[in-house]
Amino acid sequence: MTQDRGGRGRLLLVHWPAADWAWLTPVIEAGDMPTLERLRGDGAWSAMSTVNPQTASLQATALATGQRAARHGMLHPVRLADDDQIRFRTAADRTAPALWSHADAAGLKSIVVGWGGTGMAERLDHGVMVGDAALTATGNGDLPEPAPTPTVLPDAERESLEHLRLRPTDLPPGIVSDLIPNVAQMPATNEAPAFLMHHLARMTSAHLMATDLMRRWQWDFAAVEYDLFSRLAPVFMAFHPPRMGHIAASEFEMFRHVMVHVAGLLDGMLATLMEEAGPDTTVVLASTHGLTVKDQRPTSKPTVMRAQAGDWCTERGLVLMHGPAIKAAEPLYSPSALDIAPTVLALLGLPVPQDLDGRVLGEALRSISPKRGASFAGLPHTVPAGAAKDVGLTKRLLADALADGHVLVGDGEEPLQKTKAQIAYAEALAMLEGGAPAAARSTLEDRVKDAPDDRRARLHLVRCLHLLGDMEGAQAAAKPLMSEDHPVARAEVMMASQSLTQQDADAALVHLFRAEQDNPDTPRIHIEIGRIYLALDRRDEARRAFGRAEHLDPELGLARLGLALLDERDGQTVEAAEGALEALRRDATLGEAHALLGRRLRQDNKSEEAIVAYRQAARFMPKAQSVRYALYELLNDAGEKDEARGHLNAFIALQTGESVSL
Amino acid sequence: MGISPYRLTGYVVAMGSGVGLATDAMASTSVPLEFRDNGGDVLTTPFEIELFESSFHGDSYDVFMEIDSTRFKLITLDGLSSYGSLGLLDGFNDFDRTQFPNLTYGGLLPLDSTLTADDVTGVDSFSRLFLDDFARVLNTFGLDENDVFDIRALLPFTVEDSGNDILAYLDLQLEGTAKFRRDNLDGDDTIALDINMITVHGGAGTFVYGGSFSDLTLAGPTAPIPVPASLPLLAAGIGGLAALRHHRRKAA
Repeated sequence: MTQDRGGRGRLLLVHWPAADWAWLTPVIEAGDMPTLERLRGDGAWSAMSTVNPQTASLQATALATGQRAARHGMLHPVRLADDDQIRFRTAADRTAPALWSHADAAGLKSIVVGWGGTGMAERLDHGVMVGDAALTATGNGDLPEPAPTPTVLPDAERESLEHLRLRPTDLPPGIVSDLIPNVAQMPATNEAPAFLMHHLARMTSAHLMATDLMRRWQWDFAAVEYDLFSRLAPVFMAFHPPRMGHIAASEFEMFRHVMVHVAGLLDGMLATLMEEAGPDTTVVLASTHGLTVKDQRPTSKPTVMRAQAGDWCTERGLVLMHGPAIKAAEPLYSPSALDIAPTVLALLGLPVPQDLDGRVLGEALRSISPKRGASFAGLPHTVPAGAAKDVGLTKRLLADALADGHVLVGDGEEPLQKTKAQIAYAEALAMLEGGAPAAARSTLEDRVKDAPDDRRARLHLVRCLHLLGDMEGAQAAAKPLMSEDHPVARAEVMMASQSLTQQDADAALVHLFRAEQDNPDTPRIHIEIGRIYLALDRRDEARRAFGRAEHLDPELGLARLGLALLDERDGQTVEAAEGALEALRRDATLGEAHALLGRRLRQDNKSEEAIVAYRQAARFMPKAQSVRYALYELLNDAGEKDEARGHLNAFIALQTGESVSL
Repeated sequence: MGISPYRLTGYVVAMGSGVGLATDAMASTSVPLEFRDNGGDVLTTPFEIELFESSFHGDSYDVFMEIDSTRFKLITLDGLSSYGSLGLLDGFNDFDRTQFPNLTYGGLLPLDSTLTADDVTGVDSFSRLFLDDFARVLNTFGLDENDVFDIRALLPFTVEDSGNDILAYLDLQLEGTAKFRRDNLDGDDTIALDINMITVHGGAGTFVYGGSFSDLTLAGPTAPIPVPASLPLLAAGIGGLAALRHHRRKAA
């Protein structure tokens, strides 16, 4: 029996890493993803921001725990153990409980299949789990070699699911030629067809096991990961239309439909999952990052190495929620990958620990008031003691880590040392992103010392020192970047900001000019450039920068907001208001857009509406003095004396540097 | 050689400062224009120009070119001088800015008409931004992004006024002649016309649009992609396992 949770139905969480609306919308519109199209029509959906660094296991764990890597512990797929040897990170290394641990502790029945970064299964008192290391089936016999232990728990299920683990040779042989025309004429040295079949077999195995378990088990919560997009993108996205200049026409014709067919396949798999789950199930589909498209795609050689796939990733994935507990067509306010876990906990009727990094996407939930819980730290760990020492599992993980390029191959000490440095560096970046710059500092300094020409590492160090308040150190670290012929946008923007603080407008402009010459492909950098130009009242340049950001990410609310602010300065008030509305459609948390609308409404003598807009602005920008004062004036005129006084007090406190509470 | 019965097999899109002058010249001259290869040999002469009513600045023209019985539609995008010069050139007042939200990116381009891509900072950024609007422009021609328009350069052609006064000429760098001289084309064939660089020389200036156009894949309408029959077998999950196995056994 499933636990009584106030009449709530089941919850199905599906992770499709590397899915995003930018590249999937044309596929949906072409009719190749009918399930997604239907869910979008009836559900709440949005782009979703990622967590960095972009490592698959780190991101999948962030999704399942609601924590950044600095707290969930999956900093990198491999780690250095106390004995200075390389070990593979699995669920045993996770330092924060996943959703299934929360559910299990509350007596809910869970099914978990193929979740990234788990490796092994965890022992759930009320559920069943298949670790992602169980998905790959090998062997030449009639049946594949058994899954390593403990990748399926409880043990009884290991045998039951064995026949559902497929090898590439277990798939219908026509599949590869269905997806890649003329594959027979392809040279045997081309690894793409075998790579494709390997991952199709993995995904089909995951899907078979998930649907089988959903059919046989009474369950409350199911979590399944399909990593087909993220696995295949570094090889096949280069061939996705439109054709890139460096891709030969013959190759383009051969591979151009692979990603679309894979999208159709995952769409079909989602339809099957939902059918198995039943109509009362709430579905949460999430992707921790997206893929570059069109001219933003890298021109590097397609690679099967996952460790080198970063250039293909964007910082915007997707979220889609659908079902009886979800409000249809409700806008989501800047969701992040960290928001999925608290939202799922709320949907399951479980307490949401107060120290999770994300928030409940309450705007899309129907009649659900999230329960606040204590710290997540009290939950028991569900990994069997000593499980990670299993030889079969270690071999499986080693094979995966080698195949993905996380461990370097070679004899002697050098590859080992390089792998160690690679791990330490990745961990430092995760700490930096997780708000722990002090923990990252020494590794980043070592890295820069060892590889002074590594500009990216130097930039991370500059940022780290900046966060630590060591401005002199940051400037010194950034100096070599300044003297290079080729400018580095991030460093130049940082220096421009500093020049602005020192009221040296000329120096700021030089840095901004150099930043633009670098032509970075990160929209946020252009936003920063635009903001500084705006501060300098260089409107054409600011417009150029915001426009560039919007070009790179057409759903970026900040870019539209920047353009709207420029329109306002240019006296184009109608355009400015329309721009602000569009910015808010993209991101309802943009306080400056609310404030802009407030100004416009006030000009039009629509005081009541202006108050609403300014209240929203104050909600998202509690320290904006102009917003507080405008609210004071408007509310005072409207006779709302108490609230008006509160805003006036806040305004005065802000002017005198006191702390403010809304 | 003459104009063959109308059969559109590809598109060339020319743009940039001067293209308006070039097409004006083509439209106004009675002298046949010539295609020349690098060595100056005349490849073919037929040309047919139709006035095309443009929704943006000035007039544009549909220019149909024929090379070795293969007919191409040359779409000239007029008014783009305004892009490069922020409206300081003639015609800006007619230019509908609302269609081109990225217009000010052209501010990076200096007015010096003799500069090339190597000299001009920001040409790449400019042209990439231009792609946004470009898709919209194509819509006015009944094309969309599903149309294939490959861009690669090998062999430059020159289209010029063969009269004494060279008012303007288009220097289109196109992919090798092999592409154009394919035999046995029939009505359904589409030629991928690869252009990496479209250099438009004209009275008003010279802009070079380089590799950033390489992703423009605009070609004849693409048919819906049929779903491979085997994929539903994989998507069916446990309910389709028997069918999957049957399919596998049958194939074996």
